[in-house]
Amino acid sequence: MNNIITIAKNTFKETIRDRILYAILAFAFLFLASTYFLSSISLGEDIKVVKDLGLAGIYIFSIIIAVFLGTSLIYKELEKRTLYIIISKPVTFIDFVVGKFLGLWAGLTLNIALMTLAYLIIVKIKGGGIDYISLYSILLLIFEVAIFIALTILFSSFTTPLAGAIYSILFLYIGHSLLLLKQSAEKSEGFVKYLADSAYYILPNLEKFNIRNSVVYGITPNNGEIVYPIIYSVIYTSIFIWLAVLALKKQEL
Amino acid sequence: MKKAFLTGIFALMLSAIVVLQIFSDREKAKAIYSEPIVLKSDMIRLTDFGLHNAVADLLWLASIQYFGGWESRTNEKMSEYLFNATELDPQFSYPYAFGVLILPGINQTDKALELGQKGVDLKLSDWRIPYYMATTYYITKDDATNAAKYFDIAANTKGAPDNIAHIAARFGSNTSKRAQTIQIWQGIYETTNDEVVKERAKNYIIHLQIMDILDQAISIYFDQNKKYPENISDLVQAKIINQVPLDPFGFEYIVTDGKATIK
Repeated sequence: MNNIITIAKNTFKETIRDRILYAILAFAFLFLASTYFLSSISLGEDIKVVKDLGLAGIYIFSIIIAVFLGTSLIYKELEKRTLYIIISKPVTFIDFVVGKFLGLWAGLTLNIALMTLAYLIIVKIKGGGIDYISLYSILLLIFEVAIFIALTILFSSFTTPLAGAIYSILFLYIGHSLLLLKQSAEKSEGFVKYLADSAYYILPNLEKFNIRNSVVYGITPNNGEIVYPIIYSVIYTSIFIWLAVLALKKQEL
Repeated sequence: MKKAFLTGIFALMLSAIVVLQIFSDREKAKAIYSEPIVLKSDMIRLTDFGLHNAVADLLWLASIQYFGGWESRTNEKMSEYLFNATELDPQFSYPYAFGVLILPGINQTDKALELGQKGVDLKLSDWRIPYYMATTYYITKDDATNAAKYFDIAANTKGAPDNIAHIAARFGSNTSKRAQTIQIWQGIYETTNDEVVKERAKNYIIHLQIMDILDQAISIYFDQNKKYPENISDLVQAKIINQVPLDPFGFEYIVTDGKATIK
């Protein structure tokens, strides 16, 4: 456990010191600030536009940060051969991957918190009060990002950052399009239906983390909408971390 | 010397940028304008990573720029923008109302009413959608039946200002159109399966019939006194009617220029 905490702390420090992170964060804040002005040309729909674009911005920039930092996280250690030093000590692969994951997740959560603060300030300035309900969607975003980070770490353990980024974004895309797969399964028959149905239930369905479209209308999600995605995230994240550990073990270090 | 030279070069480069922008704008103005391609909402849904509301907002902002811009002379794509925005975010009410208001002006009345009906069917709490539909039916389509129906829906929508209920109650109540309006509500009363609409239609019929009775009473009062009553109570005092009638919508009846109306 101590090993995990030490690696997580170091990864967290490494994450928040990364220059790419500051560049992306600067763009994120610029984007959030721009929603203030964009909403002014919406013919009276200011608050809705600020909320929609603000939450979308937080989501997009969180994903960008996760891609940039996650896909190179273990790859860097393999390239610089620092992993050899780490695993020569009494540190297991599980300690290493879990520590890396927790450190990056904590770093990203901090960034999401900062972007959310900026978002809440802009909504408040626009006259939308304190948008407490949107915090539910932020909570689910943090857990969606956990799956995504675990996925980028998995790719980072056996492929280059560029390839990892492409695979991760493809997974993200599939994760938000599975409903279409289910709809097509309903229209299909036989093996195709079975295949499409299986894919729908097995692949990570990230749409369940998306409550942005309802919270902007002040609709409070029910307990199931919050609890099920969180459990789903914990399970999926564990699977990806486990696969990342297996992928590292398989490599001849 | 070198500094002055570099400053001069910098100023020259900035000037060149400005001149190039001017030339570029002129060339753009000469180019043949083509209407923008608006992607279908199904296609957008496939690619927006679940950010439907945000994309709907961007489409909404784009539609305002398109409609308010000077490039398109026909604004023919306006309905596509608005339909797409409302398909991506069906709860976003203003594009429905805005569409109903502006599309008739660009010869897309049927599209306007289709868009508005979509909003009404979703029972969005925005009175502007049925209200603008009522005005569109009345002014553009010369359809008093649907105008009356949508004025009433607007008056009954949560958050509608009080004067909307007033307008709905007054619609078609002047003497020349009253009989026709009673017939319209009678038709709605007889054909609807919706108990709420039936009740509302009944109230409108009663409301208009009361106004008919009051007009007749005012006429009798005039024949007897050679002047119009100042208020409805005068009719009771003159024993032409038994009591001041209660309006089903709660409005107060008054006498204006020898005719019964509501306050």
